Amino acid sequence: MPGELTDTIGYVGLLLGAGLSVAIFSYLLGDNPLYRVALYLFIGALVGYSFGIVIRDVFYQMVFVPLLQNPLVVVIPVVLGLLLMFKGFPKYAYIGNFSMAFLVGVGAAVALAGVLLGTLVSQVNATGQALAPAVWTSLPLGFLDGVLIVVGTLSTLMVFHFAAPQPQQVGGFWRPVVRVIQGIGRIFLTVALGVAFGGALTAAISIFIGRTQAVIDVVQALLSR
Amino acid sequence: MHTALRCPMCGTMNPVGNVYCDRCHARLVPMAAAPSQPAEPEPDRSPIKGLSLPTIPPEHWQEPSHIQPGEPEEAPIGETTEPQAGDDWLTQLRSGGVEGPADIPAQSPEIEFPLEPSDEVPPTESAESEMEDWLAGLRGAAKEMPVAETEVVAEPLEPEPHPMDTREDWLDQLRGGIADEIAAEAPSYPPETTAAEEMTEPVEVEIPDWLQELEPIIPSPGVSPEAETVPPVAEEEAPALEAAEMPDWLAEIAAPPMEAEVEAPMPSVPPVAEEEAPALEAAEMPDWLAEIAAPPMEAEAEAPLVGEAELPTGGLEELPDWLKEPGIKVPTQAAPAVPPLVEFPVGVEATAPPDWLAELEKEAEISAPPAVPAFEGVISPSETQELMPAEIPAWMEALRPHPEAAEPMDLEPAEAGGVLEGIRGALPPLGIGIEVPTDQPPVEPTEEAVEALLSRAQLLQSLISQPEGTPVPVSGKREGWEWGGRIQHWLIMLTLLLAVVSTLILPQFMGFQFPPVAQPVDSPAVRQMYEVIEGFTEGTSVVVAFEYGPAEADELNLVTMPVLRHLFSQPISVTIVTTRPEGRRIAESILEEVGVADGEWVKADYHILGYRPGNAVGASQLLGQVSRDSGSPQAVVVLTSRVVLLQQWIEQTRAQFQGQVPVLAGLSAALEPVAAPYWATGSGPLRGFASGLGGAAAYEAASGTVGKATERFNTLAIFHLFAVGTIVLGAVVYALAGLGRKKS
Repeated sequence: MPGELTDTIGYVGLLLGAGLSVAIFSYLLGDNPLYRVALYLFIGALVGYSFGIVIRDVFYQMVFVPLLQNPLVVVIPVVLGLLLMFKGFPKYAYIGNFSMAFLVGVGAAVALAGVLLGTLVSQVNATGQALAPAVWTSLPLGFLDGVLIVVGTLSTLMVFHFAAPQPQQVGGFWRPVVRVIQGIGRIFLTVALGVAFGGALTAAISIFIGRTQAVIDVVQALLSR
Repeated sequence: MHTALRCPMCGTMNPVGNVYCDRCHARLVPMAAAPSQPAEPEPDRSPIKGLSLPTIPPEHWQEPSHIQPGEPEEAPIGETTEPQAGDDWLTQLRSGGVEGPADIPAQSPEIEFPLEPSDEVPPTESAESEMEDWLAGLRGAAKEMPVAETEVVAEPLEPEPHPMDTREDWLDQLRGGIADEIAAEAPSYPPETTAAEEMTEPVEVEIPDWLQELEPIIPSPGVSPEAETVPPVAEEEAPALEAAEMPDWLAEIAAPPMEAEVEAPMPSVPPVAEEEAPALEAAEMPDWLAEIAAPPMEAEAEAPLVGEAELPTGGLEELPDWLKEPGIKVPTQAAPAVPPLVEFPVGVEATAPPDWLAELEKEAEISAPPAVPAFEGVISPSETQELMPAEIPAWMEALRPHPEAAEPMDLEPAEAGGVLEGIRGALPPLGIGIEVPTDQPPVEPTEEAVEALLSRAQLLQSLISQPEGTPVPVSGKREGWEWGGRIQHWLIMLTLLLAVVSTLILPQFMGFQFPPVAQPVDSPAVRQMYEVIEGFTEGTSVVVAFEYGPAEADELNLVTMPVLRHLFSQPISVTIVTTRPEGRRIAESILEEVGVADGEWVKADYHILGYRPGNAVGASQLLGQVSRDSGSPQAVVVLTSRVVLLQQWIEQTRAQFQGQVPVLAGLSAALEPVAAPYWATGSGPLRGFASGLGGAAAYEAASGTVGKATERFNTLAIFHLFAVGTIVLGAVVYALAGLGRKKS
């Protein structure tokens, strides 16, 4: 009996998923109520599920249980959390600014450290070493890859050069050069955006294939029963 | 000898027995109680108190020679020396104590009725000096009037001019004559005294019966019980004149309480308070008042004010102490006994002058007497007739309506249709302009201004001249664009449907296999990722971050499953974390699908650390917690489809472990351009990644398995072909359309 019930629930779930998938696909014919019902249902279910997870994984496990075992550990977080609730009342929203300051300060510090060490410094270092002979061997195209990395990085950065034109002396010579480099940078940007679009299209098609396959599996299962 | 009574209001002669006038129904006989004996003159005088009264009586009132004992002190008008024959009935009335005309107290007018403003009539000026010609003539005519057969005692008060004497003497003469006549008809009139004299006289008032009964018990040293001081009539006014100028409010004050028929006060009648004082005191004097008032005669002589007389009366027990002190008079029941000033007959206009007065005026041949209304707002018809027409200013004359010039208003045509159908004048007619007078000279418009105005006028004219049926575009979209968009939607739908049918439905239901279009590409990133996982030793701690939700599961699940199978086939410790709420459920479902729970090939152990909020902060906390629980991890596997989440894991791993811990990623196809820089240059901790369905197929190929990714890779390739074909087709159509527009 439990197995049959589980199978029944599974089939209902599959049918419901397939129906909602078809409803979402109906957007190809234009905006319609079926699409909106499926969309709202998906968003509502996602928010509800997330709220349950927050209650269970955060409030219960990280606040309530420690509060019973060792309250001193969570006194400050609880106080900051309670102060944060004043943000819901415009008249007393300033009270929540203490918690917001703490969150923003800690978040900015953590993110800044990661960005500097994980992205900015490492990317600049990698670009500088791209033309080094020791790196050529690790690149697929060797020296050419190194040149593409350096030229692509610099020209793309020059696209966002918005200095005022200076026709006198060096400015008169430098401006045409900047225009050429900006042109090259636009080519790299176009290719990068094309790749991003291709990747997004591929991801969307992959999802569509997965959803269509799920619907076909449900139909096949129903037909086979 | 008179055999009739002249009505003080209309002048009609009425029989002696009449109480009311036959013509105007005015009361002929006053109703005030009169004393049986004339008041004894009081040498001691006190200042007169009252509203709008002079505080010191005139000297001619104070002359001892003028005041004779047993005679009225002053009777300027209408004073009679002895009752005339034929007035027996009045004598009987008086002797019987019946109120009658003889009991009328002296008319001590409280309120002045100035014929002229007080400032224009200084009290010190002589009346003779101010007499005008017409008044003199009128006085002369009045002297010749045969109306006064009685003896006029009072002489013109020439030696001592009084403010009231500023009135014209003819009025005095006239008043005297009338008073004489009335006195002759109404015998036993008490000798008239002035108000000041009344004030200074001892309490010679009519004592009520109740007080008379108490007199033996409470003797009054200065007043004999029998002494009934009749408030003398100060002046016998000309009734017609008084009645003509008597305002309503004064009639209301005077008539109701007393009901004494007294001629209307003349403009120069003394204030009423002075006249009412003795009457009040004489009427009903309570015991307390008698006790207080008897010894000090001066205080008794003070007449209560009208206001005092109007105070609410009450018992002695209700009086405050300060009122019980000597010198303060509180009128009690005496108020009703105060004779009225005048009583107007019902139904007769008080402003109508009597005929005899009109005749008198005619005889005086007064050309244009100054008609000054006694009271503002009360103008009698006679006064209206005497008013001279005022000169109307020109600006007001211009506003005079001219009925002959008024033209009938042209009715505008009614609205023919719409909501205003049938309504006239709903729309303003054209051509209405308002001329604004200005002193500034007109400004000549410049040519530029004229051109601008003309251009605006032309624009407005063009807008107005547009037909009503001209469609107005609602939005910027062209009509054909909607159809083009719909066609694009249908074209894409047909392409996808064709791809689905050819690659998924036909092979599954009909066994039709589409020829393979593409093979999984051996990607270096995927290979390096596989090699890193393959190199994990026993007990290696690996953190797996599930950073995607159900919306991306159809793609990332294909990437995740080969990676998880490879991980769990290694003797490692896997810690599953997430910074997204739905990541935990995705992890549980995919582990169940992979068969980690009961798979014999599974060599790794795992535990789900769970969700941690805060994005980058959460990722940093998770890495720190894993490090505290099971030591520093040897690798971090990130499964996500979002750029931010990939970067945060890369950056936090780099920041926390200084690049010593490699990062592996199973990504969506859309993140490959983002992850490639981190992997290609070897700058970051990203040592390998598998992106999209192609990367998953490549990973399966690398691991020597055939999974769903490989199965769907051909489908993906075919979809790519359809997508590329659609894009090319659309570009060609767009180019041809552009060429067509350029030619046209």
